[in-house]
Amino acid sequence: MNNNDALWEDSNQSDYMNKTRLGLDEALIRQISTDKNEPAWMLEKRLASFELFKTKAMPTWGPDLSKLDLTSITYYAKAMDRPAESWDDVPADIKNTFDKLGIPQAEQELLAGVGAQYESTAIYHSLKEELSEQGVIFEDLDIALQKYPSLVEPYFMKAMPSSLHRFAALHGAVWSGGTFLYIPAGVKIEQPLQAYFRMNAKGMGQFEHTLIIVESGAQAHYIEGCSAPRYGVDSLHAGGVEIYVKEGARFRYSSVESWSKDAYNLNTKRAIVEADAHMEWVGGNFGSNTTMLYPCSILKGDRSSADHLGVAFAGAGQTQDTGAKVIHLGKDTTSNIVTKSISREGGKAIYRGLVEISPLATNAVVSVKCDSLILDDKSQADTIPVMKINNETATISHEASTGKINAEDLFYLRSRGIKESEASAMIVNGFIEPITKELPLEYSVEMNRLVELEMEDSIG
Amino acid sequence: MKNIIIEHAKDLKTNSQLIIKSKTEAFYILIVDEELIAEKEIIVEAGASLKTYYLFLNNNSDLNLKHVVNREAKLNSNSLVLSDSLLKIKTEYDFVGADSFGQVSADAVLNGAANLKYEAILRVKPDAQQSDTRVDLRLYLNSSAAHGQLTPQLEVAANDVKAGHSSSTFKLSADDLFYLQTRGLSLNQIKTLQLKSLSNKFVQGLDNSTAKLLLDLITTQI
Amino acid sequence: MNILEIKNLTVTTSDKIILDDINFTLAKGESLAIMGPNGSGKSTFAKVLLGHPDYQIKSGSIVFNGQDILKLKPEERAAAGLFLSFQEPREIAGLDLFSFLFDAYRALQEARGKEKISVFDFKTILDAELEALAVKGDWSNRQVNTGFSGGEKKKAELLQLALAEPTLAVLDEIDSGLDVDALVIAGKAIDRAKAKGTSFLVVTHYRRVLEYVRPDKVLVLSAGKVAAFGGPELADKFEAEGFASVEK
Repeated sequence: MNNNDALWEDSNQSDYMNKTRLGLDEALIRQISTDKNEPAWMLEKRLASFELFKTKAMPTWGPDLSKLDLTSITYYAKAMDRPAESWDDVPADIKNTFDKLGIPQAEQELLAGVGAQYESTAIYHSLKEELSEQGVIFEDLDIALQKYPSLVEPYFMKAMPSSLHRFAALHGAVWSGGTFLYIPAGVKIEQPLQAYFRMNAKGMGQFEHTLIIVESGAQAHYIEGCSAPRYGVDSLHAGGVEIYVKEGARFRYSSVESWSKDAYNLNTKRAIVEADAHMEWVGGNFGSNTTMLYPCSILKGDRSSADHLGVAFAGAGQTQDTGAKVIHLGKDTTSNIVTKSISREGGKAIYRGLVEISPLATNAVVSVKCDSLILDDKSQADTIPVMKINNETATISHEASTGKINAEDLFYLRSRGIKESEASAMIVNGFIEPITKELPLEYSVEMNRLVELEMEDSIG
Repeated sequence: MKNIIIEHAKDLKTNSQLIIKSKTEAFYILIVDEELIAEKEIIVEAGASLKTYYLFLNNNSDLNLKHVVNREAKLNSNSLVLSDSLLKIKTEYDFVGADSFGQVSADAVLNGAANLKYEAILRVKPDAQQSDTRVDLRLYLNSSAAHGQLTPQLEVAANDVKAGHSSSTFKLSADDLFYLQTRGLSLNQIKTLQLKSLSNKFVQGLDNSTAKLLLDLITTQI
Repeated sequence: MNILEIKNLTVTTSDKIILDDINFTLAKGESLAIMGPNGSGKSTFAKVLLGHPDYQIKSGSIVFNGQDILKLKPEERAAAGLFLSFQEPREIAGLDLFSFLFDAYRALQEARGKEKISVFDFKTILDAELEALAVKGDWSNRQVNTGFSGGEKKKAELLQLALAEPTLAVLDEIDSGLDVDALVIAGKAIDRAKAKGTSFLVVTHYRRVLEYVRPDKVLVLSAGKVAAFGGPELADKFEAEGFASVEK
């Protein structure tokens, strides 16, 4: 076991846990809204979502969620009264944990600004001057709701309505914290914008909401990376991400997620893409007990397009049920999906995809490529792509293949003196290179390192 | 000696089973020429070899065909779907033994207000090491009112295998059509030519009289 | 009667004028070479003759053998006696080559009021043409142009030319991509067609094919307009001087 593992196990027990409450009821929802000083319409939305949540059943498809006990989760905890403006303001014990994990200081050359979320309330935030001068808003969503209600209200939970499924309804009721990112028309931001957050307390639920609006002709890249230490009690993450890519705009959303091995990662991520706009999803899913994640692009405008690139790694006791959904509505739309999955030590990787061509979506062009590597005889990989074709002018091609590491490749590397586990890791990293190369350097390095860490346990 | 089993929709009893005995060879042809709602299981025992031909001709059917392929057995499966109706097809291919082989190919031509739901599930079980399996589905939408839903599913639980699937739509581009027209073919004649080509591909491997039987049935549908 | 009369032909694609006021006449039994620099509209003209859907006729007329063909679909123009050999023949996987050749042959025979031929008789005709074209390998199991080399694709075009027995064969850059031997075979195929009464309209960048076709008239296009029209000496002139004098 790696020395770093000990760091991860350390849980930062601070006094804030006394302010939390287990389970979910209307009183808690009202408390959340009051604490955050929300406008009345938001409380109404929360309560309506709660009603929906009570009526919706758990999904009847997908991985086993029977061990997920929604009553034993802490739905809300407040660590600080108001967000810190700079790194100096962050409480010592929290900084301590960040330091131990080696998470770098937020203010670096490459980073434009960082919002870090500690439990349910954002505590650290800063924006570089250039960004705010251009009219870019990169803010904690709780605060954005107060400061810019006319920007938030028209979009909030429209791409991701509570009626979607049980966890969307839950999210709508108890969402707390998250990022609001607004890029005005024509503004192009070269540096990737990032956010860190983590789950810390036992049985803590994470319900952050990310709302991103990219006005016409604008361009940006947003990255999320998450991690959580290990716990015996189930951790639940039912966050939501909504992205609105307006005409002619280009946006990339990247995330490298490495959850603790008992976490349930049931996220909802959706983007609506207008005419001539382009949306990119780049994702890596490691860790968690069970992940269900299907980023969805709705190609609403003519000539809109989406790329979905994803890597899923399922180790011992893990089920990665991930995929992509693209709904073609406009004319002359294009989508491209490339996924790679790796499973080992009994892990199960499942690609679940949906490509839907609606009746008026003429001349859609779709390409889907899913490849799976199964590293041993205990593990499994499934590919379940659904294609609903309701327009005869569509051109669709889907290809999937499953196999193991090529013995010749492995032998070649070992004959050069490379240890088997390292050689395997190199091959796996080569396998996922088409996706990692789309990430900024420190993230592709992190992803490669995660692969190596995962592979190290298997042999020796 | 090669066994040739030809079954028509009206003769198929639901939940029936077809077993291809170990180390024998057989051909199984199923002609769904009238409405059929049924399930059937086809078992290919160790070392046996089976070639199946499934022909669906313009009717509202709901059919589930399960195949189990054992150690060192071979399965080649061709399907041709011609539909202007509501059709639900679920085919399952379970490879349960080592060194088994499977090649599944399906072409579906949809006309009129056809509505097709086609699920093809390929399962490679843990014991099916060294197996080599593939499923390829192609959809030809010939009218603006036709709809198709394809789900080629792959569940692989053995790692030392070759397993893959593909599904795609096939469409002649405007340039392709122009090329064919300059040779004297009208759009209707081009559609017929396409169907002829798919039919020729479908009957490959069959003896002449069986192939003719199937081609004649297809011709009556044009 | 003239075999081809082009009058004030102006053609657009996506509202852009691509052929501008083309005028010329070709008498029966005459052959024509169309030459010009890249982008002059040579290939476009060939496609327009057969009715390619990407091009719209803004004004003018095309009269073939006394018949106005602008309202005819491509297959109807083929039946009327026009043939186009493509510069880049389409690769169409999923269509059997033999079935295609047979169906096309039958379609043309039927349109011309001829007797329906049996598949066996057709095969005899086909085999004879394949031999004349020195086709190596078995083409009976191929798909349309799939996996064909450049030379094989051109041979497939000449094969279809022979089967179609057209009145006017339009060859779009037939000589590009052909080696010396293949060019000789192509030349012989053109001679055989000529002997059967086919006239030729050859779009060409090079001149090699003109050794075999020996045009009576040469049309030079530049930027979509007629730059020159005259006898075969024009071909020599442009070979010597290049197209700089007409390029805009």
